[in-house]
Amino acid sequence: MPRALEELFGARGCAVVGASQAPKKAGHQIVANMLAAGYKDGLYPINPAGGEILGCPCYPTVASIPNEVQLVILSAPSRATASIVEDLRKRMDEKGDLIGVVCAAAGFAEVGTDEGRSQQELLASFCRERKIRLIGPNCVGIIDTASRVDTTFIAGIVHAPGGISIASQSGALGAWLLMDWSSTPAGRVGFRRFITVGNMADVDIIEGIANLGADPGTKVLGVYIEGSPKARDLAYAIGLAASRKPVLAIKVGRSTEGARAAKSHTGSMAGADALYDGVFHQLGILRVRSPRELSDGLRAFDSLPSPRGGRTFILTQAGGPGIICVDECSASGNIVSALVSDATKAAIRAVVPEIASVCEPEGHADITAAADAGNHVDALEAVLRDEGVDAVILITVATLFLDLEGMARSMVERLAALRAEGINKPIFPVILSGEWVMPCRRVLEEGGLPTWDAPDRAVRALSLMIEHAERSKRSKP
Amino acid sequence: MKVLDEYAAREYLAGKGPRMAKAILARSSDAAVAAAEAIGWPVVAKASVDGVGHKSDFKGVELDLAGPDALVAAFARLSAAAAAAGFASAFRGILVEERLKGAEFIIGALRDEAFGPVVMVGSGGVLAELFKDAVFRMAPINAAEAERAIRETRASRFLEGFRGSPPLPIRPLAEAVAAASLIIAEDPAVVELDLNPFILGPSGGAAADLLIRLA
Repeated sequence: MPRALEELFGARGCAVVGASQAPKKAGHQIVANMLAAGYKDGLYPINPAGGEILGCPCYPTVASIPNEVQLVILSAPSRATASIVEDLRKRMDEKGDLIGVVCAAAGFAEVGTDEGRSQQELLASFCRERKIRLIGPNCVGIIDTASRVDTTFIAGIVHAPGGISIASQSGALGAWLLMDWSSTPAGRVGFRRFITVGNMADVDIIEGIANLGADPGTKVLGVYIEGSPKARDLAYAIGLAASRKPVLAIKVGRSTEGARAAKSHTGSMAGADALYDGVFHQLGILRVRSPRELSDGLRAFDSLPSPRGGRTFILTQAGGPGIICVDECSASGNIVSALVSDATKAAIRAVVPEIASVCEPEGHADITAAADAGNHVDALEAVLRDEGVDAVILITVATLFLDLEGMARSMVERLAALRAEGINKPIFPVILSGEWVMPCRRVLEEGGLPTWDAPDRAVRALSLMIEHAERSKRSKP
Repeated sequence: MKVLDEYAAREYLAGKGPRMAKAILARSSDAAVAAAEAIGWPVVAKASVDGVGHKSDFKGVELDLAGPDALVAAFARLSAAAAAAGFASAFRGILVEERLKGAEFIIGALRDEAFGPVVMVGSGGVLAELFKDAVFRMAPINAAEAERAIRETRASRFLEGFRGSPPLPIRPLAEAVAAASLIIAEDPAVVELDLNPFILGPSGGAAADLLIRLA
């Protein structure tokens, strides 16, 4: 039995081969990321020139490190593989403590040359022989914010803990999200784990997905796949994870359809995209179409309580954006208007400006630009208290006379008070727009509530949550 | 690789497949009329040509034949059409079939290189490929999962009753989809299977054509 991938996340002692003093080199950034992640179990840059990198003393070889080393990150050129393998072999003969190798370097099988393939096989066969798990080559590796490991050279990651994990066949797609999250209003999005697999010489995407599906710290899982000859196994692996937690997947290559001798109508219609679509539905995997949608969905699932159903109330201070939101909801296929009681309607009317339009149409209240911060929060509370409401989309456009930050602070407090009473429903604040509203959005996001810069983004994230909630209800006996 | 046309495919499945329209092979116009009397008028007549699945490519189908005169004339036209298309030696005769009425669906199954056996349901008839209204599942599936797949198709709007047509029961269609999924999952010789159209009426459904490709 090979070691479980799980062990690598808690590795004690990490050597970085190819570590560099030059800040623009990957071998420097890896050391920087391990430090930024807060890794405290022994970080050992390997550089024959000696000296220090970011305060860590360098060692000439992995074999010469006196302390325990379980994980090795390779950032040296692929042509150095033979000498690296000799160093690792010496380490194993003398200390025998390595359990994992992350090969971040490129220039292996992915370049398609005999040379590249043989370097990869040299590394992979050594790892197999010594029961060391190999991630890559040609990948950025793994991050775990709980055990504070970050083998990647992605710049600008904020290592905030959270419940989101990502398994990706593309390192760059993961980098896209992780870097993007540093520019959200609060400057961070909490996450749990990140796995990329590169050339999959040993650990493949299926094992990565299985690990995150089983990981109790992963509350919601994002998957990026480019395709696999073992599509059925891959689908079952994602499906197994989806039976435990929400799984959002991007499957790219939508336009490339496998060539098929179409004797039958069925054959001519069985494009790869249509197959993935159907299989994802079959297994309860939520398909998303863009990295933005993936990020939005992951954030919503991680931060918000699950809606009990699709009955949604749109509380808007702005006419046009509210109508756009109504249109988006009706196009979603699973969001329906929440029909609130007459008592709720009266309660809303009592706390908003007289010119407000309440429940005309049903499930929608336009509290108008005359609404102040208190009106927003009071109306939201009245809506949330109604038994017929599963979720609320709150839309507001900054006006000069609206105290947005005050509204945000009082909303966070009011929601906490309602949660204490047992009223806990997903709320999607759409705060329009631009830099002007960032302080308000920051307060809300620091209070645990993702914010949205357009109604369609909020609607799509909510629609994914409803789809998952309905699926979960169905699969319960 | 071998294509089984409707007659051969019916024989191949021999009762274990989804429900099919009643059909009798007639080698003469007299036999055709007798077959139609047994099945009930009106009937559909199809040129049965060994190995040729898509009969509409050579005008090999005549619908709504209400009596003996129309059927005898159709027999002559279909024989001539098959001969004109170069199928004289492979021509078996005329398949006389029950005329089903209802909404047209397609049920398909195939062995995909990456996913293995899969089953499909969607909008049927000659326009099936044009509209690409098809939903797939890994096979096999049961009727409950088939129902969920059916509800994802645009054609499922027929089930509620569309523009004055009566509502249609989903169960017979779902059972046929599940049956097709079992065939592709359990018979390694079958590479592709088309039931097109599967005609669903208010009191049930059956396939009005069948094509199988064997490895």
